[in-house]
Amino acid sequence: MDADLSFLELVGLDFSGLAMAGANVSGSHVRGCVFAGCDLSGLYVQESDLTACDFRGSVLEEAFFQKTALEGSLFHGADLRWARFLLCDVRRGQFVDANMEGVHFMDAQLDGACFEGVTLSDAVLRGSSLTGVRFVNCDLRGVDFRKTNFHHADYASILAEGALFYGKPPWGGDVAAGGAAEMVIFDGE
Amino acid sequence: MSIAAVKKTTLKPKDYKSDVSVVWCPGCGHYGILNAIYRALSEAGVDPSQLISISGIGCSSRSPYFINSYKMHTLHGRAGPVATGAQLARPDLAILVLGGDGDGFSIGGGHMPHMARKNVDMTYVLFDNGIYGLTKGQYSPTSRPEMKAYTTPYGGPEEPMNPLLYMLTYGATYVAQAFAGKPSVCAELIKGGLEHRGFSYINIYSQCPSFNKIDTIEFYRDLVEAVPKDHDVTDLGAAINLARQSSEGRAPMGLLYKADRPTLDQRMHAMVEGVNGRPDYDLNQIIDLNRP
Repeated sequence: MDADLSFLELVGLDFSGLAMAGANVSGSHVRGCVFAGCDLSGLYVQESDLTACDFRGSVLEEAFFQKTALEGSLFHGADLRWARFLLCDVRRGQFVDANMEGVHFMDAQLDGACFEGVTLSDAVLRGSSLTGVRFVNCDLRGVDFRKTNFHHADYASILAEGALFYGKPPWGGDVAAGGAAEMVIFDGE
Repeated sequence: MSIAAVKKTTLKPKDYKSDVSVVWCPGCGHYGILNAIYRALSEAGVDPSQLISISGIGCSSRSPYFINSYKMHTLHGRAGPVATGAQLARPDLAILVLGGDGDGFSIGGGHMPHMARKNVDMTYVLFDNGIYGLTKGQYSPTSRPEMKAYTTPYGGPEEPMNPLLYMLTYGATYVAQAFAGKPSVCAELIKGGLEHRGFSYINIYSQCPSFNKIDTIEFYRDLVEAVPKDHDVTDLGAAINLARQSSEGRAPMGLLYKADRPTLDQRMHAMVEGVNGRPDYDLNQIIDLNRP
């Protein structure tokens, strides 16, 4: 069976480069730990504190996080394809150059997070809080923005074809006029 | 003959995920149990083409949609009888029944003892969140009296049932318990259930953050105690004593009881063999006896 790190105090430890695919983390305090370069594919995390952890360059494909604190965590260059973050606190998370195709942020707090240069195509951000989020140079094609406060984020030089949202998009004229993106407005459910 | 006859594979847990997106409330413990089921199926090497997952109605009864297997989403509380029929008709397949506490012990409560006493060769995973979640939060057979729900605004007037004691009493031959906060333990017990020949019952506590505000992951963490290392899983009396802890504010986590007993399909097969595969009676005569 896979590693079981449930209900543990693991503050400030360095797990760099370890193969931890499919590990379970439930109800643990894992603040400030380093997981750089780790294989964490299929990781299962619930109701844990992973504040200010370092996941740079790690593989988190199909990882699952719910009700987990990840505030200020670093995900630069990480593989987060089809990962799920349900009801998570990811405020000020750094996702620069991460691969986030199909990622799922249901009802997450993402205020102040940075997604510069990230592929978020087909991602779900539904119900999430996006105040001050930077989506600069992002591929946002097919992203589900419904029930978010997406007017409070930064969308310079994005691709947004097929994105889902209610009302007028915040990137409206700028993106179309600049020719940087083809935009299709789909007016939600 | 259940998993013993099922072709072994070396698939990874993610290979058991179907294309259907999992839709439970954020924070639900069922995600952990489903994760454990994927791992258990992978560890046991179950061929998805020889697996049937069967459910009744409820949040947890959506599970078959999320598993790469043949599946039947049946009527409320009737997963067990359907699974019994499937097992008798196709004893060469592995049968996995998935459901909740209301589905299993209230609406389907009349069926549970009979699956246990008949020792139907199947694995029954009960997602016990102490609430009817799909219908937005009503008191269930395993709800604690302290829980206030729409149907019990002042708390419950009755004691919860004890699923482990119930299954042990009625003759289940594999009885285990875990909680969703420990998916690794859940996976190990489910794998054991899949490999056991006979009726396997695995009770898994699961938090429902939307409607059950008192049975949190912290509550379950403090409630459960690992089954003692020296516990004899063949000792029914010892298993019953452990199961009774649930009435005393503690709950055992692990395998409580395991026994070898002929399964329903084995006994049926022996009967058919006993008459050389042919009935020694005339069915038409029996029908004639009952004509008005």
